[in-house]
Amino acid sequence: MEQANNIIIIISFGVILTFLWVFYFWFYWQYRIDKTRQELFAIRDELFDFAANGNISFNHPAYGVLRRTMNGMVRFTHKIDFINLIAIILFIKAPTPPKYNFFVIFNKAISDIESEEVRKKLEEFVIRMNKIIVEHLIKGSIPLFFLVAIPIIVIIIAQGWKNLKDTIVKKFPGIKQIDNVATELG
Amino acid sequence: MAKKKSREELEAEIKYLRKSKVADSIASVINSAIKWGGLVVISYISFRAIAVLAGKTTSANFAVSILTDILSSEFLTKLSNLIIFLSMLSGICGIIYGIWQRKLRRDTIERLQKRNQELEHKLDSNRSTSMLSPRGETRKEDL
Repeated sequence: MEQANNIIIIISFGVILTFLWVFYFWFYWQYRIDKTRQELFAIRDELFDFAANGNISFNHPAYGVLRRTMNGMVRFTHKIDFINLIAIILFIKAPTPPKYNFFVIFNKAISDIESEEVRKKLEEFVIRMNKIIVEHLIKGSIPLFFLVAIPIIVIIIAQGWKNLKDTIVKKFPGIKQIDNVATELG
Repeated sequence: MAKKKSREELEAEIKYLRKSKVADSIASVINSAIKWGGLVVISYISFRAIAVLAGKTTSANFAVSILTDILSSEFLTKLSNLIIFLSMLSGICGIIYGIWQRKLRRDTIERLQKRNQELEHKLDSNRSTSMLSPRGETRKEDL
């Protein structure tokens, strides 16, 4: 009888671990992809409205590269994770060709915009887009969670969640590489 | 007409694309290993533990002998408590997941309905409305 009970305990444990495994790798991960895509769609809609209101032409290269990069991110959200980020940083050592270098194209494109306000707004779109990706990376990666959970909790307590995303976007060069890859794929 | 690329430029571009493909492939392999490796570990340990408890496996194998030592009645009692905790955690995860999904659906409704309304209004200025909230929720007055 005790032996049967013990076997039931082990089976229950296996079933629950399997459930948590399915929960994370299917339900949660799919949810994170959908959520990030929804946020990117929302910001892309805002960019469209910004152009539709006459602030910038739909044919302007800044609008084009920004939309193309957002499309690349929406299309490949399922591939944006911590492991991919590390692989990109470690393996893509070659300089990014100008054709795919988001910041080279973007900065060149906005340089001919006269209105300071429009330029700032476009730069704000880039920062917001990258913040969405940082959030996706942090919330969607178990390895990242275990590796940096403690420092992040400390920073969140010290600076707040919003400031943490700002800091990562500004100081972490890997995020720029994601922009370049998205520009390449978009 | 677009400027024709030099041989060096083309080679640099190919090198970059090749490296980005290699990075993608390696990440893909590691991600699959983490994902499916987890399931294999869960299945293997469960299967071995059941075999040990059922007395069908001798302790000649090193891994099995460790399991035999671990699977004491004290350990199994602790495991039962862990199962109760994990069961509750699973239930809580399920509820949180449902709440998040509902929020995501309503966020999407809010984003899409505004544009839909504007576009339909351009074609039909007398367009009537269901009067639901922008997030697709029942109005308090209609309850």
